[in-house]
Amino acid sequence: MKTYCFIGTDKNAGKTTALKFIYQNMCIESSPSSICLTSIGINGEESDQYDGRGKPPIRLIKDSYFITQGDHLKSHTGKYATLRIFSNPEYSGNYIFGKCLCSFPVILEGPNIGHEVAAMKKSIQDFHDVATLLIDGSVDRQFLAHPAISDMFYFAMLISERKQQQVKARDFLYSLSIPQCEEWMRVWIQREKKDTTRSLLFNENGKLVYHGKTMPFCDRKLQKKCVEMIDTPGVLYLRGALTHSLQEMLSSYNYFSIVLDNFTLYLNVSTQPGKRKRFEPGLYLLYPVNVKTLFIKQESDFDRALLPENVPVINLFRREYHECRI
Amino acid sequence: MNVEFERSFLSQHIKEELELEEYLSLFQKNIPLIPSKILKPMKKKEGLDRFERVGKIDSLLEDSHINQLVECSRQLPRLDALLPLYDLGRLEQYHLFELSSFLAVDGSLALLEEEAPLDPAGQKVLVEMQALLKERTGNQFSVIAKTDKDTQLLKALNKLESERTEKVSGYEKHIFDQTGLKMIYPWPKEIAVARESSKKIKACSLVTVEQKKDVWLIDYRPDKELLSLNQERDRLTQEFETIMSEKLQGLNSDLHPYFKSFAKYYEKRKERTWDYVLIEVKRKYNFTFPLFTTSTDCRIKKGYLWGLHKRKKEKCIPLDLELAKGANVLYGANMSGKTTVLKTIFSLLSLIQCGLPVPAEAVTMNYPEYVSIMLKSSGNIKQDISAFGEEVTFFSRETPDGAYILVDELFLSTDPVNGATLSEIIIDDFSQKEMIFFCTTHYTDVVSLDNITLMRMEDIDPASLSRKITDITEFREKMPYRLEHVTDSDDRRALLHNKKPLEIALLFPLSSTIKEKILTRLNKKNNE
Repeated sequence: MKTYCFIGTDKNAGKTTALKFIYQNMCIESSPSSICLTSIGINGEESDQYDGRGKPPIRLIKDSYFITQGDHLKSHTGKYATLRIFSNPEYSGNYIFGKCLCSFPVILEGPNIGHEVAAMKKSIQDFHDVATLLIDGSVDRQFLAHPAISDMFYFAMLISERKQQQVKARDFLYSLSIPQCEEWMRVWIQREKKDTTRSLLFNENGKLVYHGKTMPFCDRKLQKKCVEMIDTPGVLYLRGALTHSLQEMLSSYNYFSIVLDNFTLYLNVSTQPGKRKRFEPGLYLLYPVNVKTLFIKQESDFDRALLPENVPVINLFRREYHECRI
Repeated sequence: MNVEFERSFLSQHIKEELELEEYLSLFQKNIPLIPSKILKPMKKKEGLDRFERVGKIDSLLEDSHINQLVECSRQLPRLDALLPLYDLGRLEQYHLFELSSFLAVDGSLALLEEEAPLDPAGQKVLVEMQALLKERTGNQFSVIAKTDKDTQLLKALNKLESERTEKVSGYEKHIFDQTGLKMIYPWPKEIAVARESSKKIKACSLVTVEQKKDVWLIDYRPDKELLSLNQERDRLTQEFETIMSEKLQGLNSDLHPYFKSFAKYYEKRKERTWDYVLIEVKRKYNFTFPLFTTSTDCRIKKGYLWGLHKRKKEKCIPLDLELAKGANVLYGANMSGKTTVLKTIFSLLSLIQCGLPVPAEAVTMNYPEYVSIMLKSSGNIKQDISAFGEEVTFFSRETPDGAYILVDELFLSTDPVNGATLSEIIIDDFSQKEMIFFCTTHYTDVVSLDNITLMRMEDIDPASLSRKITDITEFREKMPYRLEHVTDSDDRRALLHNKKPLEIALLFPLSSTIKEKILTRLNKKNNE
């Protein structure tokens, strides 16, 4: 079973539109019964940031599978078959894995926690005809970037006139181009990494200098250790956001290689446009971004040279777009 | 499963001292039906009933049987959130699936419980519920059962959906043929104003065109046929939803009469599942359930502290002890294990109060409804009370008959002369009460009291030594950590001439000056 995750850079970037588009085309090209849809849970924000709407329903096609909170199925009695229930105490909500007996619109709300998503994936793989899991995700759910959760990503990006949003778009495109770290870095990191790890600092010989369990941006001990190594080569692994303050601090560390756990750690920072210092250290990802397609929603002009190479780019809202190979 | 004691039951300090968290972790099984268990001390009737019940089940079931029952119980879904909805008649379709899953697994459990059935009358109710659900649902309880008419309605809906999809595909093709525009989802579409196809687009009856700045927004203009299909779909959907809603309501009404019996049975099932966990752990670790008597006494055979046993393994000496009604006094040398004995007794009593099997070969006692312990204290600054004050306050409380009162180093909190006097008075008072009093002491005056059960910790047997002990580690290793009753008057007198503390002190790395002085005093005592 392959898992494709949909992430949008902004609330109105067209993520759900992209999901519907891909879903519909998958239903035509393969079969609805090979597809399961779900969504990352509502993150305490019931309504859309810009226009006050709630989470939109998605029209499911007959024979598709889905995972959603039981509450969203109240008006759909008889339209689905209940196949499995994921509930307390192992799961934080009451999630129903079902199959559509007819086509109907439903709000999808799956789990919000990485290990619950992973456990559900494992569970539904028992149903051998589910070949594809589509997850309507969110950029602030870092666990989605883990290879155990997502195989590939569909990204939805908004390009508007707002300066703040433009910085966000630029950072996002940059994060897609961050290369994967070298094999020897990966070996060092995997050797020491635990569930509670937030940072690892190695010297040039691979010796662990510091193992941080608190968020890097507020880990004073980590920052002190980095200062001690400012003129020496080192590898710094971060499993927390590369905030502006951290970026500022590390920007002149010429001899450092910074390895972010995943690309979302480059994105969850304030997007206030302003002067940024040139970032000297090498920047890498432990888990690379496997981009399936980039969907853009263009409200203003932008430099197409910023778009990543070898990635299909589609503007679903415009007349011309590259063919999307699903 | 998270297993813990009720907060008010034992202080954190005591729990840590007795390493009870470690012991409770043995019961933390992955059973969704019981995600957590808060243990609290039971009153006598409840406690006796509980142990009688679990003891009976324990006697009826084989080892392999118990393992099967625990495994099967793991499959029971937790219905605590469902029950209030059931009571209100608001079960949804997926709740029926969950309820049916419970009934199915419970049915399997009932087959395994033939020798110790949970609730035969309650089981009958569940069988009826299951039959009702089977009749009203389909496909292993996953769907609402449909009549032929309902099935036809659903088919019609699906057919309509296919027709609609075909229609839209047809439009897409038609629009493409007319305008060259791919009007696939999503819409509206933006196109640049200066387009060759703009005239054709404007002329197409299936799309609307709206100009916005330098782009045109092209949207669908569904024709009458498509609108009609949409309306028909909405109508059929409404009809289907109404039928299904009525079916669900009807099922809720028909299930409701079973609710009270089911809710009671569900609670019993939870209790029984916990009983299986207790029995499984008891057997795995060779623990025991206590037996209760009406007489005020207590017999412990090979009892031990779980934490101590884990650390010391075969070096942990289990406790054999008989406590009589009245005052029981344990006298012994320093580092001989007196406090460990007291803690072991308290640990076992506390676990029994909460209905747990205990680390021992056998325990027979009157039910410990009231247990109180006084350990060595340094007072309490918050309460503005000294160690002595705490101890006197402890004895100021009223204690009911049948209580267990445990005190470590009785009145060590004051000077030896008055401490001995108070000890004599307190012990004498308890010797006449209908309860079990147990204390450890160094006061030799207490040894002479008549109406007490006197015990002592055994000394190192000199015959077992090939040479003199020279350090404290060796001393600890040779200490037998066993107690014995002192009944002989000669043995009592021998206790009065105890030199052990001086002999033990010599094993520590004290300065030579101090050791010389200790030796001088020892020789003086020997000559006396």
